[in-house]
Amino acid sequence: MRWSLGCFFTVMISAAAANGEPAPSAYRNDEFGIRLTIPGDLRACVAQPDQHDSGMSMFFQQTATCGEFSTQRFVGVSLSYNLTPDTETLTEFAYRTCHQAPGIQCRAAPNGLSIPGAGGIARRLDYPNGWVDIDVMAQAWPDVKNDPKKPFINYEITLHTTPAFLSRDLSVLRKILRGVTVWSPL
Amino acid sequence: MGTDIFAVKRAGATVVFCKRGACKTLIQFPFSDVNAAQKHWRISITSFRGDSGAIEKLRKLYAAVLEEHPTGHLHDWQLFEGLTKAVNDGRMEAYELSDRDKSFLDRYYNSVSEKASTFDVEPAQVLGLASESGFASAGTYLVTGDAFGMTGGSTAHMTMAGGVAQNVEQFFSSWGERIRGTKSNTPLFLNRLLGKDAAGNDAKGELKYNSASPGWRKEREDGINEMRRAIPIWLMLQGLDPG
Repeated sequence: MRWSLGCFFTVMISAAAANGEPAPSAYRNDEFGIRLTIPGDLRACVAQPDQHDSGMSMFFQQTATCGEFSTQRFVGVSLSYNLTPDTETLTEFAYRTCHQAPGIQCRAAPNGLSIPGAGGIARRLDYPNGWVDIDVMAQAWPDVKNDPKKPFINYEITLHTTPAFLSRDLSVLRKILRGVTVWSPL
Repeated sequence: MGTDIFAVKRAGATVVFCKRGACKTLIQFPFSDVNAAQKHWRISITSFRGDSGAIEKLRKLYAAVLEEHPTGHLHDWQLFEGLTKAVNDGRMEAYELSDRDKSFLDRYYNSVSEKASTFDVEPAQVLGLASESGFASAGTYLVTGDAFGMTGGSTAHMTMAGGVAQNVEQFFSSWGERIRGTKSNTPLFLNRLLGKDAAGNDAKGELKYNSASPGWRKEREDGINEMRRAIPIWLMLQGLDPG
């Protein structure tokens, strides 16, 4: 696809509210090729007008502060190009994620977590301060310009929560994952 | 994993050893015996990965160097032993400068390096931010010419760059004061861009380079580390001393 000014903008579309529940909306990123549905009861934070759109976050509390990730429960979407040996394969991507901060205990995530259309791998990260991440990672689309044997785009969808909310928030993560669509943007 | 590299170069066939971004020339061969078919006369990553033959070849080359120059290499030799063992044990991987990184550094290194010295910041940190654009190879960059991810999703705030020099100038004009004096302190560099204080706490009212993606910090750390691996090799290819 040839890029043009109109084709890579973040799109958030609100759907009509139904039966009194908060309306879901959608996030779409054409640069990385992903679309997902945002549950209506989560607070969505997307890139500001002068920020490159490389993902978004959905906080469980409506009063949450965008960009404050360490002390708030959220499901986050991180999108990046696969450019370094640190994330070259899915295994290395997961290793890097598990070692992103000191003291993280990394283990298998609950079953059945993947990104539709891209597959992937999931890990549970237990932080020394008690927070828990469930991290779902996938890589897709050949790096045609540099090395077609390697995937060029990293998708990472993360639940950041506490043990007390893990079960409840995990069901939200599963719901969000079910609503993900990815496609090749290259 | 990921912080150690070595590379071989023509014209003296240099082996460089880097640890956590600090590089030193490990061996300088007085002759070239690397594969002439390899671009830039480097030993490819595949020939090093788990291939004891390539390591043995280097070992023989170095033995020949010692024979020619019997003094002054003992320390390097010991390091080389450790290096080869680490590679053979799978604890360390060879690193190869990618065509993408080379192309990016060909275009951006000199402009960024010059401005970075003015602001007392390590060039690799600024260059690493360009992982936002696949090191000036993909996505919004192809439309805007902005490699550093200053480009948003609104035409009203679009950062358009007419060329590398203008793009670098835009970055330092917008963010230079924020990162001034961060030297090689990557946590501090990223905290400043994210509008946080040195301890990582939110500084109220500060503009943020990114406030939406929770993976932004990790991804930029990876970009910066990539540049710290790539720059010494790129400098060698320019005939410059990476040390």
